[in-house]
Amino acid sequence: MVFLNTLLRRVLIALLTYVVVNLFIFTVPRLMPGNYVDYIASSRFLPQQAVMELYERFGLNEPFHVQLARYITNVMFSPKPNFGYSYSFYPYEAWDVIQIYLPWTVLLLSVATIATFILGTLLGFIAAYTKDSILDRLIVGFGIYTLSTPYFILALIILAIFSQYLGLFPAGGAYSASAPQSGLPFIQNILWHLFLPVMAIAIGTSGQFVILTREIIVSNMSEDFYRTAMALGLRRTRILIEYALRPGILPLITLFGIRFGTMMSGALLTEIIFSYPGLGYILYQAILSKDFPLLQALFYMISFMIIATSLILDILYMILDPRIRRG
Amino acid sequence: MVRATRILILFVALSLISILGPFIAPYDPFQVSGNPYQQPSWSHILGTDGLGRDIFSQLIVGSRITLTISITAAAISLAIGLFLGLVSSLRGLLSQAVSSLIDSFIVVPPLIIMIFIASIMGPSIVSTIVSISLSYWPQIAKTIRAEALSILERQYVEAARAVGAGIKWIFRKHVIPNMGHVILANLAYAVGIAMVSESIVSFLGLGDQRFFSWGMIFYYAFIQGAIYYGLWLWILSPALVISITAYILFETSRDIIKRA
Repeated sequence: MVFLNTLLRRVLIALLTYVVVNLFIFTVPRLMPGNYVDYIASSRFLPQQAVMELYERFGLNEPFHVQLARYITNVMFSPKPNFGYSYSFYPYEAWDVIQIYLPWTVLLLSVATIATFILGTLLGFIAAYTKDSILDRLIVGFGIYTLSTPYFILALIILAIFSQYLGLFPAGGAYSASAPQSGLPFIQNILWHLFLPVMAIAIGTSGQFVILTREIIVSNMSEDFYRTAMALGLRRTRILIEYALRPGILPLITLFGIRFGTMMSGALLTEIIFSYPGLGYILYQAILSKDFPLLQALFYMISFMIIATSLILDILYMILDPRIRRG
Repeated sequence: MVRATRILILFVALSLISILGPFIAPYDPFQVSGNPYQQPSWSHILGTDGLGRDIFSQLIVGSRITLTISITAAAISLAIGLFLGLVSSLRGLLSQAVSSLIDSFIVVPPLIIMIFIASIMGPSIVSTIVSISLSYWPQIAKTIRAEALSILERQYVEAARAVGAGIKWIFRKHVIPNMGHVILANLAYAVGIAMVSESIVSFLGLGDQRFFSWGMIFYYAFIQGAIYYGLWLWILSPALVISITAYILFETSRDIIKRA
């Protein structure tokens, strides 16, 4: 019963978040002075009549509540959100453009997520294992330092070293156009292009995992069960993994939910540096060409992905946590 | 105490550099002072950019814009976060609504909000400040709310309630005075994060092109091909200045919380 109640409340919160984000997407452009049509008109020197025509066509001279109602039916609760045509990919609608580029971001993000998790936990474990040594300080210092470095700086350094100077990996793109487009070689080619972006994201965003993993293990070291295990004479590595790290899996999952947004931002910026054809790449295109429909659609899509992921993670947490599961 | 001294030294040094900037810079950062794409030398410590302007001078003069943007943005987002965080710690329908607002916005990555607002407002210093300050307030509001709620549960607040103190009195006498360290820690954090954000906004081409800020120097280095010409200091110096300053601010923020 408690489980169902918590679940229902969590779903309601996700729905509310969805509505608030949508209202934000709808309102912010309308709060700013000028609108898309004014922007187009001022940059293309359109005659007054054409401007009026555009106003009419985009429904911009209608009152606020009519526009809002239209937004709610066409975007908020529509299976295929309609943001209109993209300016920079003209014959395509903004939503369709996103569908084309989305798979690459999903691929990059899922591989990067696993890499970040492994790297963060491993480094945190090593730091806790060698607590108070120079290595420990170096790892923690590195963790905090990556938090304070803009993501793209690391990505640029990695790009310069591994692609420009060593020539080990390609400088950009998701696959080589000259390579075979099917079968095992194609997959190899994709992975080869994936390596550097994943590395940049994993190093750039694992800092907080490192610090949290280390803190969990170190704080569990002063618990009674840890001392008992030590007294039993078990191997130190085994104690650290089974007794000190395992109880910390739940907080790590929570942190993961919180950090997913950061990882997403990291992925977007990394895609720009590596010209990886995902959402970050079209985000950059949208910024450069002031493609407002695409910007709105991207904001919508990214928020939707994050709301959905954090909901799924929270439900997973509820299932894993016996206190909630059994009520 | 050592940490406090460190932050004080950083603060004094940075403000001195940013106030005296134009007087201590060896060249006018906007004027051509040598050949373009020069490697670092004694006359140009960090080399020159694609137009032959001195990069070291750009860094010194740019500190003023960077500091102005990050401190203003941090102050605004702290003010919003503090106000909404305190309101949401009260009881009643309004605070419920504000709480849900905070919980909704905390899900969206600040970077996305920042890009959205900055690209709609167009590149200018005001747009950079507005976009940064509107993107980080949910995090601040959340920590403020948590702190206020924990103070409201303490015994002396209960005692004050028992003798009939009003909620306004409790906030003025107990909650706000006890939050000094949280506010300070959040301010340090916000200034650091604003500095990093400024570089991201500039890097995406949404910064004000009429001025030099640390983020803009990095942006110019990137688009003018510093990597291609092998001018490492050009691209690394703004990056290092930003991340070292932010690092010290984050450490200070963690330290203040740990100490309290």
